[in-house]
Amino acid sequence: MTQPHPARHSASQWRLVWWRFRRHRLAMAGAVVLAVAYLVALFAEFVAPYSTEYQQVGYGGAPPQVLKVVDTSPDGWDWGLYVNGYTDHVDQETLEITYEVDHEQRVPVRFFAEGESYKLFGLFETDRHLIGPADPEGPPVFFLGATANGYDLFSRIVHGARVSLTIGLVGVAASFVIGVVLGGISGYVGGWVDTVIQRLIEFFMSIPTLPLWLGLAAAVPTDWGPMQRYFTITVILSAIAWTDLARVVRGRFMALREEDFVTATALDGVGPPRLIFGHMLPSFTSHLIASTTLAIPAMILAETALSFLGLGLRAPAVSWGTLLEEAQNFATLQAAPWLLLPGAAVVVVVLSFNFVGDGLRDAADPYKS
Amino acid sequence: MSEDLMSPKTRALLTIEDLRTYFHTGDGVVKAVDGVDLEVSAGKTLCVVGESGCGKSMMARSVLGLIEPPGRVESGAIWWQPDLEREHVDLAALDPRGERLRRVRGAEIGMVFQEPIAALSPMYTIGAQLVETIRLHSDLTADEAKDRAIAELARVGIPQPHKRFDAYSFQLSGGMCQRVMIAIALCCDPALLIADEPTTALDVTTQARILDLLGELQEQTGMAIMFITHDMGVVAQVADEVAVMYLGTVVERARVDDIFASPAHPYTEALLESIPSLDDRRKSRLTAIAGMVPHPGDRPEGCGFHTRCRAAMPGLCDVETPDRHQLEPDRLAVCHLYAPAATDRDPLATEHEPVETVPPERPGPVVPRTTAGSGDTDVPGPAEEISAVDGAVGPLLTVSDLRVHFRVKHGLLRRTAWEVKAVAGVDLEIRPGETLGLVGESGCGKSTLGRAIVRALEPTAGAIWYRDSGSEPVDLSTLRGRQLLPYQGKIRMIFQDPFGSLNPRKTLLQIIGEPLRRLPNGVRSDSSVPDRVAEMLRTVGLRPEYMSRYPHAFSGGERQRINIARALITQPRLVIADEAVSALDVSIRAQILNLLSELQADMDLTYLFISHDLSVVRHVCDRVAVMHLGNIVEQAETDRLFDAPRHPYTTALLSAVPVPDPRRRGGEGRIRLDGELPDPSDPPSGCVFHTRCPYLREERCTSDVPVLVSGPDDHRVACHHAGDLDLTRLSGEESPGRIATARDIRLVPSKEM
Repeated sequence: MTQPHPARHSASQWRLVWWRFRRHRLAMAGAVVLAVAYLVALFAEFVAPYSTEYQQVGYGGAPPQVLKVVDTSPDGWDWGLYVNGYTDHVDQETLEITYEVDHEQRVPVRFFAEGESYKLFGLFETDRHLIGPADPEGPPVFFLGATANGYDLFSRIVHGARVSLTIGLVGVAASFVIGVVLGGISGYVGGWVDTVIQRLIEFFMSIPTLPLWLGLAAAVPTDWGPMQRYFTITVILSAIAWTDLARVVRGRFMALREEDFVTATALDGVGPPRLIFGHMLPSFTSHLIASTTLAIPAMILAETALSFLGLGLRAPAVSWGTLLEEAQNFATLQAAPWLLLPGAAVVVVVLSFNFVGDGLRDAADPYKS
Repeated sequence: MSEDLMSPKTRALLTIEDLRTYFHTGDGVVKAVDGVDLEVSAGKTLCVVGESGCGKSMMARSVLGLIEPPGRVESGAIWWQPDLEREHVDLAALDPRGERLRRVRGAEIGMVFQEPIAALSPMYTIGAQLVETIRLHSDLTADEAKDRAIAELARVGIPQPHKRFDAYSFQLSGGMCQRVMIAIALCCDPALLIADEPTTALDVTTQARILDLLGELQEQTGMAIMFITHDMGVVAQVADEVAVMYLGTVVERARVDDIFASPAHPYTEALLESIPSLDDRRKSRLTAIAGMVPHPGDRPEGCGFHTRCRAAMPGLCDVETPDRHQLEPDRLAVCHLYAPAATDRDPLATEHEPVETVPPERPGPVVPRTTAGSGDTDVPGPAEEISAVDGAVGPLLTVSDLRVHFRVKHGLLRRTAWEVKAVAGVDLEIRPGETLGLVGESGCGKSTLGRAIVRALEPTAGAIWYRDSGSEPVDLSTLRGRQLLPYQGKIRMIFQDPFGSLNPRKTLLQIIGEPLRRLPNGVRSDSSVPDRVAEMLRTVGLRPEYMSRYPHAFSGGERQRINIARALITQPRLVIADEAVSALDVSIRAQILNLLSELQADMDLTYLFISHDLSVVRHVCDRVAVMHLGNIVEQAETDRLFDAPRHPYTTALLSAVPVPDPRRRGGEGRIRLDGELPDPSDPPSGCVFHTRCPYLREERCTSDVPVLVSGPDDHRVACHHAGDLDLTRLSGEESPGRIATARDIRLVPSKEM
């Protein structure tokens, strides 16, 4: 029981959900992180200092450079963004290159720096980047270090976010639609229709996922591009992943059919279509949204895992999974541990999704407190 | 103060002093228990009574240290002294998870809760749960504990305790589960049993037997009982002493006879007046308590009850918290009426007048008081006129041989395994303008019958003839889909659960306006819908501005008004009220009953009033039909049925109703039914009541199915031996007359105040 509050009385369901959600601190933090992540993915070309093709072979395996604000190296104080340059040193016996931060060398950095030109959303041609070296002709900056082949890791993570964060959404959306429709029919109609759909669900649930992935990865035509391949596999898999949701929706419909307010609405002369979509479905849309939110990180993880195994996306496509593929080699990893940073991005995003999903699930039914 | 009460002859077992239990929530501090003083004497029964939200359960939970965060016992003492040799101990000061309190709980104080089926674990047999409790609090071996458990089950009247020992809770009925709960509570011979609404969830017949059982066990063991209830009838049956709680405080404490003979506090008095009793004259207006219990989070200033009190003195009651006044040695009231200042000022003027009439201005939703029902003393309303000529008009609705069977499907191929005959051939006539009551225990099929009439359920066989004035009768059971629409506006339903029957995601305008937009005789143009809804809201006593609000903004009573508005907006002829007031508190129930009877007069309505509460049925109904296991066993005019019932089942039902008069407690004339309602999927042969009938005879009862036979004065009964049974033992008792108040007999406040 909550204390009566004038504004509550005419507050709609979504407003009540929002008020409850706002009180969930972790979920709010997760929502902010996700908002930032998707903004970055949307404006990837602008946020990243370089494109995915930008390669500086001479800087292969260069460590991350720390962005500095105050320059104290020459005597006295000086303001301005800069990073320290490297001095490289090649071991004559092993031919191993080691980099050392050169405190003397300053590479100035600025916001809205000039760089490679690109088309934002394919429309506006510009050469400005959110952050980058002040002098486009000068030495490059690697905020999160460089890969063994001399690509900028930061830029690649930013560009990879676009693929990793969005490719799962398609699969989730597809399984959402199939799940709601089939589960709804099963729960509302009942009888032999219900029996058939339930047996179908049981069949799909019995198919092991990983072997299917492997099989499909082999079966997809080889002349397809990596993105096309992955997209196809995702859609096929989502056609199997709807079963859980369909069961939930079915259960909800069966419970709702017994509710007094549904009987009362039917007695008000409301026909079945409006009863289902106008009265029954809205009473658990919030739950559906919450469970969908929790399904997205599973898709992200699936992408990462498969790409890591070399079954999902492949180079030259850039995603967090393909970036991690480079971290498979232990020797490389020992020399350049920052190659694991795409994994950190995955962890942050998946955790954020889970927190938001938790918060939504708690807030989803504002009428039970 | 408490010393005065501790001194008398009986020893106080449990003494609660100024107990305060607060909940620290995000919305502020909720004072659930706000200064309770109580004591329970050894071997006596203390009834704690009050509406829901008054802190009764929280007080009991505080005693046992069962308050969950964010709540906690803020201050006060709970002195516990199970026997004289032992020091008394303050339970409030003990660690709620500590060893000492755990020993008190269960071993020294037993407890029984409201929902017996929920209180037992479905994962263990009842025997295992009983043995666990016994072994926790004693040194018995497993075998000894089992023998003891079986003995306990036998003691609480469970038949075949050896077999039942291995039963699970879901295999037993609610009444049996409550017996098991009592057995668990009593297995360690506690000195005190705390029973929190132990019979509220049970049928009236089961309730009567559980109350009898508790009385017998108390006699055997000499334990004390703290009995929490909202039902004044139950109080009258079981209590020795009564504590009336309102908003977390005890407002009156007295012996049970005194409470019923002359309530001292206006709240007690109002509670007693708002219950319809079996002796009530039909259709008189109930004296409802205005408004509702405020949320403990916004307690009114001064006396908590002043917003609803008829005797409230402005300038005093809404400013100062009243003191406790000792009226007699064992009588306390917390009210300004007994302050020396108030009595000095004018002992009668402030007191008598407001008690007799309801003040014109009442807070909260106001019931429009246009015509005061169509009672026998009033000028006949439209309903009366119609029923006068109904012989010529004929019934509004005729149900003939209606059957509703549920098929229980089983196995992979969904074959029908068996059928449950929820309604097994019912004939019923509903006359225009009348209120027909339909009573029976839960599971007897009365709700199914109601739902089949509105066609929320598909009847299996039989006909439902609906006949509007002047038109040809129509068999509703043959209509499908769109054909049914015109009649769905004519026959409407009010549901029991005020919370589940309103879609929380729609505004009142959407909820109440929906039938107008959908049903063919409603207005389809959207512009006039809000006007009609506003008018309807005003009619049911809600403000039209509430139209844009959602159901969560309203209390149970207000929601039931919304339900009524939704049912009546299509201007129906027949309204089926399915337990419409059962989920409401007594005072709110009286408000809704008054509203229903006013609307009946104003809108010329016919009611089918489905209820398990016989005193309410007696109050509102013109005729009553009694249902048992899908059949109607008796049907007659209300007074005739209640005064001279002819079916043994009716007699048993009537005698199980607790009478709110402690003087009429006790044995003679009571009939207790043996066993539970038989399984409707496998009904007994012959008369389905024969397994429980105390008048069972060899001939015919077990072989022939009795039919409903019409007797004199349209009194129908389905019993082979109705003619020669003497069932009149209940009738003809004197009625108590008007309740005298403490002020009537001029109780003078005692000096030591």
